[in-house]
Amino acid sequence: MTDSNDPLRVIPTDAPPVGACRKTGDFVPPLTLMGEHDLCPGCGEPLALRQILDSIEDTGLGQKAIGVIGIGCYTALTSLMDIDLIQALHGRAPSVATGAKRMRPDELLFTLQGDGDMVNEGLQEVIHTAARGENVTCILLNNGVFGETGGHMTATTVLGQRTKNSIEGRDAGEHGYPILIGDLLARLQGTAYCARASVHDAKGVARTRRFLDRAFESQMKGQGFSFVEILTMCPTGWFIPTSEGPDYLDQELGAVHEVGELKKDGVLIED
Amino acid sequence: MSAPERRLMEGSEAIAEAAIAAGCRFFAGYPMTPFTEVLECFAKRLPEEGGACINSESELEAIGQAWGAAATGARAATGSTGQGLSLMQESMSEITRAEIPIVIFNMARGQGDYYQATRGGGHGDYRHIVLAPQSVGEAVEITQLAFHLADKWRHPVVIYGDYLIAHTAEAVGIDRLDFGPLPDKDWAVDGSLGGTGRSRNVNPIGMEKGSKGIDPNRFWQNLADKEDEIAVAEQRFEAIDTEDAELLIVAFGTLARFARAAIRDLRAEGIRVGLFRPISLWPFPSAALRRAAEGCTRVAVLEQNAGQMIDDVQLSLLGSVPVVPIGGISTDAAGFGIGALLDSDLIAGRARDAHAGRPVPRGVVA
Amino acid sequence: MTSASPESSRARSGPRGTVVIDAERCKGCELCIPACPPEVLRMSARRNASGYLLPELLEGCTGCGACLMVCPDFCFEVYRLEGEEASA
Repeated sequence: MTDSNDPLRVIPTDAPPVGACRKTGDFVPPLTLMGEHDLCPGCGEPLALRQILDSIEDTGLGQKAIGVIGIGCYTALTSLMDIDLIQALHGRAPSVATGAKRMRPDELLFTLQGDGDMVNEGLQEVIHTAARGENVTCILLNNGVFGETGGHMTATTVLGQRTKNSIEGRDAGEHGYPILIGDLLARLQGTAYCARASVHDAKGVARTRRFLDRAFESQMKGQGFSFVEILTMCPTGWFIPTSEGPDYLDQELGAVHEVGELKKDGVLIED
Repeated sequence: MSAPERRLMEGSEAIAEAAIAAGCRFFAGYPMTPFTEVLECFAKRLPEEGGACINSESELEAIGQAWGAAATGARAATGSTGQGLSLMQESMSEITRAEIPIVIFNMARGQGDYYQATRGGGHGDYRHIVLAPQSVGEAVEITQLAFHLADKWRHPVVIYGDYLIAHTAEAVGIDRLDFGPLPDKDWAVDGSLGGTGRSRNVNPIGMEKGSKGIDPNRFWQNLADKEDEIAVAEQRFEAIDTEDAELLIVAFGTLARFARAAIRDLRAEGIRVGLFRPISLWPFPSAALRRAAEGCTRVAVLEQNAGQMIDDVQLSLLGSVPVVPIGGISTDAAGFGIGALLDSDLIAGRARDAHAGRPVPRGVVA
Repeated sequence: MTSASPESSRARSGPRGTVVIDAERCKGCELCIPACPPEVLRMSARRNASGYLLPELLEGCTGCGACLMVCPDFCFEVYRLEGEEASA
């Protein structure tokens, strides 16, 4: 905190620097209409969105991308996204993306879904879409809760995690075990690329970007189904201060849903 | 252009060929009697036409896949029988709100899905355009009309077929019908507007790019206003021998053909009976029914269920003519809708009773 | 949390940078603070119009863009400084 005896000089940040300089980062990512949104402080989902849009733009697919959006907090981010979109129902983006890709095989088709959406309501859809080897990229924003309803247990909630309907912490005897969807999908023959990343720090964000690049490349090469799971912070749904979000993500969710590439070019990566 | 070759075709095949003639290039479905053969035909023919047919993992995904295909501007369809359409209802409701054109076939097990079809079987305020063919030949026309109306209004169209239409073979030629010009589908997504500031979001709640929040009141009212326009413009019906009729039989679908045969016999006996056949179940042709019923002593509603269309008949007539049900629950041991009611002699007997003011049997028609 | 001392940041060689922060969009989530490798972001006592506490920048920014990557509200614009100037 600043105080009058503070020897450190604070640098003004309200205007660009004068003098020789080069801008290396814009406020908003490419393919974005505005930066304003009402998602919670400390939410990890916009971090994932940034990398998705960066990846699409940098690979030159901005005018060839169609996003199919599930239902969750991230649905509100569609107002910001300057790419063609189709809004789907909860859990049902993979089928919509499938139909769209069959009619537009040259376009980049991706879904954007939360864990409640994809792994609860829509588990059948994503599994069959992967099994059929549909040439789409399903992107999972996994924060281990139904965020939009206020923080409720999903199929990816980890044991011990408190939510409004598992208030003592998820217990295996009462609530069963989390589904590690990335691991499940990697084992389907139709899946060509499968990876799990996390946005808890800048290194994780950079890794997220790399995995997205590879997934989109896999789709454009026609290899089959591609999947990127992105672990995101939800301090609201986790009932913790926003500043504790990254560590909670890394240590609680990340310990169960492990980061890494699970499958590349159709070959499982065993470690 | 020479006339298309007429050949004996089962209704399922004729419907698929009619859809392809109308430009349908996407179909998705899940097997269920008596719809299954429609899926088989599309699965065989669409790849031959450069289209796609998906054997969906369930009816829920079938409607979703057709949704995605239609959202890109392709003519797309799906279908099932009543139970499968039950599974599809959430998506059908949302597709209606998103104003996506799509054709949905209900090869129904009888006429018990009338409410489901005409009341908007899912959540919220909406109706679908519903067309009920009475024969394979009419199904060929109505299938093509359905794709046209779906595109014209950006609205789902349900085709109410049945087991008989699916599995009866008739000699048909698939005439490619032209119903007139249609606007461009610039609302459809193809990726091309990315980064322009004008990119699209085909969505069912009125989300707009560049603004937070939605206005459900305005969005839903727009849909209701559109449906009011459809209700005026798209009523279809057939009226036979109604000008001097004392008894008016109201029936839809294949059951109406049995009624027609009954009417020929009754007329030969000197009984003045006519037939009013709604072809659009929604919008129900109320004004035309009122006109046809003028001067009648009784309106007899013939339907193969516990009484569903009779509500729309009552609403159309508002007590101006007495209404009596002469149909009932009538199906076969497998529940596919091939019931004893499908018998022009039996129908004629009931019509005679109705005409004479005698009580008509109620309950199962076995 | 340790802060970079003025002496050590001036002694450091390597890229020099700075950021512009959109204060009104900031929601005070503090994710940028631990993300900054040279640790030159800290929370200030200033609040924006929405009432959120704001971060402030100390000397020693390298223009790496980590803050931009981890900010959920797109509040950072990042610059690399060129020439002899170490700060704006």
